[in-house]
Amino acid sequence: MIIACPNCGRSLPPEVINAAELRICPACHSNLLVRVFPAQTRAKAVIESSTMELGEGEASCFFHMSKRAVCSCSQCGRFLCALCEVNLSGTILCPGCLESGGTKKKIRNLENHRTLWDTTSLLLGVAPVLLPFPMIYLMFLTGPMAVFLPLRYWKAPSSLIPRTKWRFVVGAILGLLQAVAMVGLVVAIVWGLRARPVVRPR
Amino acid sequence: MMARPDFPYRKLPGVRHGILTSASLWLGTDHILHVKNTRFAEEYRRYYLNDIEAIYLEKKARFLPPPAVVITLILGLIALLVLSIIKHPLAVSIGWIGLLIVSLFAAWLCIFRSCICTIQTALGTDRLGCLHRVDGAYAALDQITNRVLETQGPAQPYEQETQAEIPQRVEPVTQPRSKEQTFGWLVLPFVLMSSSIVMKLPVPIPDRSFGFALAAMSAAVVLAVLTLIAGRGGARFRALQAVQLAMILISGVEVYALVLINTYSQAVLIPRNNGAEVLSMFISAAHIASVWLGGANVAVAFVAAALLLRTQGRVNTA
Repeated sequence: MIIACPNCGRSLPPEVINAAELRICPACHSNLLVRVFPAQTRAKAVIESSTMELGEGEASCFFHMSKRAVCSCSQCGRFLCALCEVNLSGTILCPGCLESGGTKKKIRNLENHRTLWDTTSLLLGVAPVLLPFPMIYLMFLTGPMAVFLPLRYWKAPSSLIPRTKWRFVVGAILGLLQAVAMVGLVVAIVWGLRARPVVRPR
Repeated sequence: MMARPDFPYRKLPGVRHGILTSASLWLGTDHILHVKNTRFAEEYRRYYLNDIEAIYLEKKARFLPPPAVVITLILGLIALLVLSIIKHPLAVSIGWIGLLIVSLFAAWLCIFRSCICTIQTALGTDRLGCLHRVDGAYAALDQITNRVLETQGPAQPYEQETQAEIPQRVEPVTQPRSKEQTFGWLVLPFVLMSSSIVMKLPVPIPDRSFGFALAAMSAAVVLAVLTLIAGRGGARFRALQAVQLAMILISGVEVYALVLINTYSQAVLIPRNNGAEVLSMFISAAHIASVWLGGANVAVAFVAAALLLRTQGRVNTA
C-alpha cells in the first residue's frame, strides 16, 4: 500500500513516515506527521472455502444449510458459519440479531444517532427570549412543550458521553414560568374586558 | 477523565466548539468514538482500533474562520455600512473597532497553530474535525497511537518495495468542501445583503408587510423545530437545519438591535431634531428585513420538510 501526502497526493518517502516530529513533504513542502499502523500492511482476512464445507455429522449453519457451523450467536443461539459470524466487541452475533439490535437500539455500539431532548426542552424554554418580541405569543406552544419533554424523556437515554440533566430542569422551570406568564396574560385580558364600562346605545 | 465501569470511554484532548455544532473524540475499549453534536442531536462515528491504518496530521491554517467570527464580522460591517449611510459621527469609532476586530482575528490566526487531522481505514479517509489545534492533536495522537499499537501488535518497518508496483500519484486524502456544506453560510449573507438593498429601493411599504412577516416567521419556526427534532442524516439536511437555526437567531438579534437603535434615536437624536427621519427609516428597514427573513425561513423550512419526506420515503421503500 502507498502512503500519500494528504495535501498533494504524492507518495511519501520512508523517512517521513512514523517520524517522531513534523517532517516536510518533498513535493509540496507541507508539514506532516504521519503515523502508519500494522493494519496498513496486514493481509486481509480470507475465508477459505475448504474450511466451510459441511462434513458428515457436523452441525450446519442456520442460514446456510450446506456450510459448517463454527460458532453460535450469543443472543439467539443459532449456529453460524464463518460467513454469518459477526464479531462485535467480543460478542458474536448473527445477521438477524445485528439488524434488530441496530434498529431497536438494543446494542449500544451500533447507535450512530441520538436526539438530545434536554437541549430541545431548554431551547423551547429560552425561545421567547431569542425570538423577536412580537412572536411572544408562541409561549402558548413553547411553554407546555418545555415542560412536557422532561416528563416524557427524563429516563430516556440521552447521550453516549457523560451528560447531566440540568438542561431538563432549567427547561422545565422556564416552561413553567412561560405557562404562568401566559395564564396571567389571559387573566389580565379577561379582567380588563370585564372591567371595561359597557356603553349602551340610546 | 477516567473511564468508569458504566461508561467505557475516556475523553481525548481536542474539542471543537462552534455556535451550531461541536465535536469531540473519545477513546473506548476497542474503538475511537467521534461525537458530533448538532445541539439537538448527536451523531456518532466509530473507528475500531484494529481497523485504523494511518493517521495524518498536517500543520496548516484552516481555510475557513470559525462561524462565530464570520457572523460577528458580517454584523459589524453591516452596522458600519448603516452608520456610514446616515453619516453618523459614530461610524468613525465603529470603523476603528472593526479594524481592531480584524487585527485580533489576524493575531489569533498567527498565534494559535492549527492543523488538519485525517484518519485512514480500509474503507476510506475521514477528517477529525475536533483535532484542529496542533498541541491538542499531538496529545490525542500519542494516546491513540499507543492504544492502536497495543491492539494491532508492534509496529513493523514500513515496506517500501510495494510502492514500485503502483502509480506514484493517488487522489488527495483531503476532500474539498461539498456544495451542501458551503450552502449554509452563503444563504445568510445573501439574505442580509438583499434586505439592505431592498431597504434603499423607493418602494412604499404597506403596513400589512409586518403581519405577513409575523405569520411567515411563525410558520417557519414551527417547521424549523419539527425538522430540527427529526434529526435525519445527510449533509444537505444538516446544512438546512443550520441555516434555519441561524436565521431564527439572526431574526432575534435583528429585532433587539433595532430596539436598541430605537432607544438611542429617541434619547439622543430626536432632541437634536434629526431623529424622526432616522427612526422611520429603521422601522421601514425592520419591516423589510422581517419580510425577507421570514420568507427565506419559510422557503428553507419547506425545502427541509420536502427533503425529510423524501428521506423517509426512501427508508420506507428500502
